[in-house]
Amino acid sequence: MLDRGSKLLETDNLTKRFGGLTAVDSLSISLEEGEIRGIIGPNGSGKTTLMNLISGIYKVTSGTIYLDGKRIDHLKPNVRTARGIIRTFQIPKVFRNMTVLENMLVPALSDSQGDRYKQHQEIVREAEELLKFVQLEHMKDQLAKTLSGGQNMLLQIARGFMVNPLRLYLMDEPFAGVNPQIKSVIMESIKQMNREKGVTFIIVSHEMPSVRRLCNRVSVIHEGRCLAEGSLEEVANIPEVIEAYIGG
Amino acid sequence: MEGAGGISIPPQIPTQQVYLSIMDSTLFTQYLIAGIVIGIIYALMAIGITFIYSIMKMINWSMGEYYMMGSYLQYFLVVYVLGARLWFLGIPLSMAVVFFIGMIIQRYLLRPMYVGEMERKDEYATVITIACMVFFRNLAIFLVGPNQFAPPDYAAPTYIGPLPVSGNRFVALIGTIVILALFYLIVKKTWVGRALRGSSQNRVGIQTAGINILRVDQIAFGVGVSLAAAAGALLAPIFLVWPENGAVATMKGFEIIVIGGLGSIPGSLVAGLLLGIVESLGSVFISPSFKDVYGFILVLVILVIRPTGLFGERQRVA
Repeated sequence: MLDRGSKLLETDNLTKRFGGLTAVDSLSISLEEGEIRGIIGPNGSGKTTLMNLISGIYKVTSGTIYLDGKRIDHLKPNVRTARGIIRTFQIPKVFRNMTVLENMLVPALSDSQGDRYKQHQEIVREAEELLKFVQLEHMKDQLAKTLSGGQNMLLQIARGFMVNPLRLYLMDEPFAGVNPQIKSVIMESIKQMNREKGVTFIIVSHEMPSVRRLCNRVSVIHEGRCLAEGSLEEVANIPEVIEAYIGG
Repeated sequence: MEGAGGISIPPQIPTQQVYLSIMDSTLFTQYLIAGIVIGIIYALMAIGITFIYSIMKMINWSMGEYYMMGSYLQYFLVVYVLGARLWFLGIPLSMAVVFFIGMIIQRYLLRPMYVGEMERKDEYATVITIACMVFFRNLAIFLVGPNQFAPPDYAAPTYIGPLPVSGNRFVALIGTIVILALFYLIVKKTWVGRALRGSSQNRVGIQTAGINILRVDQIAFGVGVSLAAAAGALLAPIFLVWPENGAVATMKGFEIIVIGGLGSIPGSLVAGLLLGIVESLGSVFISPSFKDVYGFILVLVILVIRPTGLFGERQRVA
């Protein structure tokens, strides 16, 4: 049974500067295990930079990040993945000249996956099941470059589910530019993984209807700071949030 | 009327002219084969360069020095350790030693440019690899002097069909084909190969999928330089062993990369063959004095027609 009261992720005064630009400014947020958190905010507010800091693609300028109470901000991206943090990108980062199935097998190469040689058949079977789950099984032998943008997004998300253990899934604009059918597959996969495997999600999105359906809490980011936190309905009535969105 | 080999000759063509044309076609085929042989071996060097580039996104300007190391290692192994009959054992041993030297160079000299923010510093790689080039050349002069060495022949002259071929070149061809086949199998069929391919296609994606890119870089650099060492070891009896013998091979390697397209391994193979054939036929039908010029003309033609090379893809900038 999940302990939903414990803090899975915490950031403390997280700051990222690019020269004179402060993209993330003393940001402190925390997530409980099993939560689906939405991150919203106007363009250029620092949402993707926050994802890059948590996943280790950027080094923090100052501040700390904790996973399960242990500092992770000094760890390399692959080590954070081994601890259970996976992410997707707005432009899917798939391996274009590998087949869909080969793409799915890549996380099995990581250090955290144990004796992959003995488990090969099991890993392939797991990958095929996940492809079936996201409705890409019939394309498993096609090169990823032949897939549409939405299918690549599905592939990227499904590949993330291959990571074991999977604790925290960071999704950057998973619904951007995908058709309604794929959108519903993505939403269903998020809900199911959260419900059945207790995976915690952070979802950066501009798609408010999807955020409303998925996320119990949202954090509003503006100019690198957390402006408000609460349910979407709660934050939508805060004057500072309205001002940030309409550029007052 | 029957000519040589059962060819029927129309009565109006003089027999002497027919013999001349048969000789020309034999000569043509012989030089074509010579071009293919040397082309495939050139390609080995180019594949090493392009393999490192495709994963680490850097040009290794000291590739010729790993070729030179391979040739020296092969020479000393054959002459002082293995003996002339066991020359073939020297090839994998030379490759293995250079593989580990490459891993060490990558670990201590090249890795710093990838540690920290994920922004590459191409200038760093250029300075380091050119410094390595100067250092290793001078180290070779310091250790064994500027003299040329020649290992014993690998094989006696042989025939491909009716055509005579240098035994050393024939052996180098077979050796290169075996090494390229093994390289293909490792890259295509193994878990490590999958990590190498994934890294070449998306460095950020592979890291967020949990792969240690720094370790992949290290393996890729080791594999790339060991291919150069294989070329050096295989060609040692043909182009000899001396501190600067890698310079020509490096130049050919870069010509091939421009022709085939940077980052394309099939491109390197095709371009290597093309360069070998052009050089070989140009030497016969025009003049051997300008052998190196034919390759450069080919490079210029390709740059005009297809600036990204025969198999190169346009980079997406934004």
